[in-house]
Amino acid sequence: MNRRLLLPRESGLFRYAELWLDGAEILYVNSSRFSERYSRFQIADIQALVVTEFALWNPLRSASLGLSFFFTLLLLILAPGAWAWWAVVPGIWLVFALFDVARGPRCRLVLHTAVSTVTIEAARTMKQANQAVPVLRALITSVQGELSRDGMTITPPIRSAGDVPVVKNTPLLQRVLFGMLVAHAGILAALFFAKQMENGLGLSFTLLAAEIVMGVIAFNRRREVGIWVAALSMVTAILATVDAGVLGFSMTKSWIEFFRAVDRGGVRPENIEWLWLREQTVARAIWHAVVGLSGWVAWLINKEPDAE
Amino acid sequence: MGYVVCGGCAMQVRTANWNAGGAIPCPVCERGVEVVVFPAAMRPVAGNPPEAIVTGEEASCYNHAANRAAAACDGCGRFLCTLCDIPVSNLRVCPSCFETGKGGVLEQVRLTERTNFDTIALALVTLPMPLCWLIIFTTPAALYFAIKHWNDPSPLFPRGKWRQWLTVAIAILQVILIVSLVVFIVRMQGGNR
Ligand SMILES: [Zn+2]
Ligand SMILES: [Zn+2]
Ligand SMILES: [Zn+2]
Repeated sequence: MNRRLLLPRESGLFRYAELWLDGAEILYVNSSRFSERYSRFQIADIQALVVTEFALWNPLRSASLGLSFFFTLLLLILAPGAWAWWAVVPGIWLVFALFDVARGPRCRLVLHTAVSTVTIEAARTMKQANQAVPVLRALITSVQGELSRDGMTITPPIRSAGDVPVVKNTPLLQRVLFGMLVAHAGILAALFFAKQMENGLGLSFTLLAAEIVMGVIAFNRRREVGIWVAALSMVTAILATVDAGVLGFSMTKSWIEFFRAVDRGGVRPENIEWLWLREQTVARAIWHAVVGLSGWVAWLINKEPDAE
Repeated sequence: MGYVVCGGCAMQVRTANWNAGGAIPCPVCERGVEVVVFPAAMRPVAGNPPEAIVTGEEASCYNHAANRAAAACDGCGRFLCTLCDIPVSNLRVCPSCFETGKGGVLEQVRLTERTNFDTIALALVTLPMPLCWLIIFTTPAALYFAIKHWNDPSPLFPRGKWRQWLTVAIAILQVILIVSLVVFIVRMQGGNR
């Protein structure tokens, strides 16, 4: 099976799309994950590619970013004490909204043949279209030759389709994830030496939630990044889940003790006595540092063959 | 060839703006539109096919150079005239794909779409978990899909069986959980009496 992926997979929660070079055909896969459609185009028959740019800011995107930011801030500032940890919910929304904005202006890529007109979902942002069009163009002109601007003359093809370079994935999500792990470890270490470990618990809870989500998404994109980066993404998701469980348990337990102490009356305790505060902070910092750094190493090793 | 339109407002793009080497703003919606046209576009194709090609430069049938293309084969993508266009269930295939299909390549030919029952089963067994009472209905459905479609072929992109195995494992855990819950409740009530 000599099939080559032309572009990194364009994917969302319930959809993905891919463009493959399969012999003299371009194979287009459009999937909802639950079902997928395959279309084949003979390279010799493709007549035109049309890219239309759409502005990044529309009412929906602005509202999503504004509201998630507003609610995160509102909960962080106004919620009393432990309730501030509910900022995790709009916080995750905010992270997604920021990722969405970071993808830049959107586009529609349409492919024409004599008998069909198909919107190619494999390039939905201008960034992707700017990668996809040169690759497709190189492929098609390598078979058909090039058409002059006035449509009058055709320059014959100069290279074969096999030489056309494909677009390698730049695993931004994975790099952000591993960077986040190292940063998280750094923050925990700083709090440890400043003897302020209890102030890191809320932040850790938020970050662990984000690490679980990002780890799962990163693992889902395993085909693009090599086995070690994928495995470490999964390890991150699993360890973060266990860690969040430990943190959640110690939080609940500590609060119950606190309220019991309040109930008993007498001298009201000044602070919550956090269960395993030192142990969990140290363990958390260590696994974050180890996995984060291994992730970067794995990514660097995986990067080598692409550079050739 | 006037089918090239702006993707934002469906306004036709002037031929003078084709192959301009970059995006040109649409006169109606002002979105940037880049049109890249290839030599294949210079082979005109007629809207209603009376079969015979007139100018020798039109898109022609792969098998009959003298006939106009009317469709593309769902198996190999080659252009077909009305003679070569064989309807098979909801597909249109060429004679060679129709023939080779009988020899075992039929899955390949049929494959214009695939339903991923393994993913559906996994989603059914995991997603309703927060609404715990719902799993009484969704877990049997998930098991049904996972087992009924255990050996679904996937010749284009091999998928492995981990989704089905995971579905079955989670379903068993759920059943154990529900049974122990029922036993627990029954015992509690027995103890109260
Ligand atoms: Zn327009
Ligand atoms: Zn065919
Ligand atoms: Zn024919």
